[in-house]
Amino acid sequence: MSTISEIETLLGQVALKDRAAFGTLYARTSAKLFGVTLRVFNNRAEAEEALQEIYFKIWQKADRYQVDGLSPMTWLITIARNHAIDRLRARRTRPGDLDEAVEIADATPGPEAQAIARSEAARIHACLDELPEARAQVVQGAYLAGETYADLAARSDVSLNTMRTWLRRSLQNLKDCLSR
Amino acid sequence: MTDDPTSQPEDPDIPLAAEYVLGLLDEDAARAFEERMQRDGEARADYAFWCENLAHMTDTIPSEAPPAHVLRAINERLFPEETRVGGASWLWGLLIGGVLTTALVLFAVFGLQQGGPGNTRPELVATVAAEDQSLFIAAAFDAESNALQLDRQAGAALPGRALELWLILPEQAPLSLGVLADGAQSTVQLDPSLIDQLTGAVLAVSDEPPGGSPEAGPTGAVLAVGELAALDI
Repeated sequence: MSTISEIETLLGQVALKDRAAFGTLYARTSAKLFGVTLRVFNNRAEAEEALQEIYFKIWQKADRYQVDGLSPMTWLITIARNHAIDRLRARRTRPGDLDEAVEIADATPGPEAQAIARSEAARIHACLDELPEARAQVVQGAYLAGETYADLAARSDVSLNTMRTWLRRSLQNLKDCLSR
Repeated sequence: MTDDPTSQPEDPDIPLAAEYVLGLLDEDAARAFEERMQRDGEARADYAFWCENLAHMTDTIPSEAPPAHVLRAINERLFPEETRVGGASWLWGLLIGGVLTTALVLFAVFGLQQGGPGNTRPELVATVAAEDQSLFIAAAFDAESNALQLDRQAGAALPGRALELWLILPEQAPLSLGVLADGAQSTVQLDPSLIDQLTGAVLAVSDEPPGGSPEAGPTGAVLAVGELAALDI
């Protein structure tokens, strides 16, 4: 299992255009990032293409890693998720498309995944559990499916303003929980 | 998108950084937040806080190794000059370092070959390697030219000695393919009679006096072996 410092070292080398380090970084992290793109797209071919583009970005932007102030895996996951969401949104024709409802259902982890999440002790999972399920799903919908306020409001059949208020309140609750 | 009037961005009750990370801000608000991050350490800290915590929502997503062609495409796009046999030495470095499997590296490197003169995709490949990878030669058989293309990625002849390449067909004595050239890359022409027997044939490298073995077979230690196999996509 890669340690945090190994990824950090590799990123530093990639920033200096070290191709061997880039290959090792790919070997260590591509399975994780591929999993993320598969979840976002629900489509293998798109996920594979997006993954290529993600690694181009990683190659090009590795020198920014230190500047962004994130831990190494978070930095990589953020690049992957942001790129995937951008790409997903770019090909949507209509906001609030109900066909995307399937993605949200998949985003809720099953009991086994939840057990794994708890064992990894990332606070977000416990804090999401503290929210009403519908609110937690809204946060997940935004993060993993790139839903906009318009999408989320349409899905819950409420006004844009109501959804904004709900989500901001949920985010505040999460922040309080995470900061405990 | 038409907006109802919203609270001011500076309102501490609104987790603006979270909305930014989630991608919920409109274009103007997002750019404004980015500008604010440039000058405000607290905004940067908020940004990092949300990135770190929200990224953990991916903890429960199963990892899955991507198919080999993804790495090939990345290599092609980022390092296009490395398209000849034996190019992409950084990938071979990964194999030697035990980071990637042989199949993955072979495909990523040799799979780059498209049509074109001297650049046809090889039918058979082998990694002729010592157990500890101290000697490592990539080999690809090019059916169009009836030649074995070789790339010595690691190791060399001992001083005052030579490396000789042998082809070992089932139930036959080793057949010399000559002393390996000094350079890393070389081509060995094969007798047409051998072409049909190459699948599963073994390539071996032995340590010999300069000019190669004085006898029909190897006289020195066998340093590396590898089996020729079809490139499996």
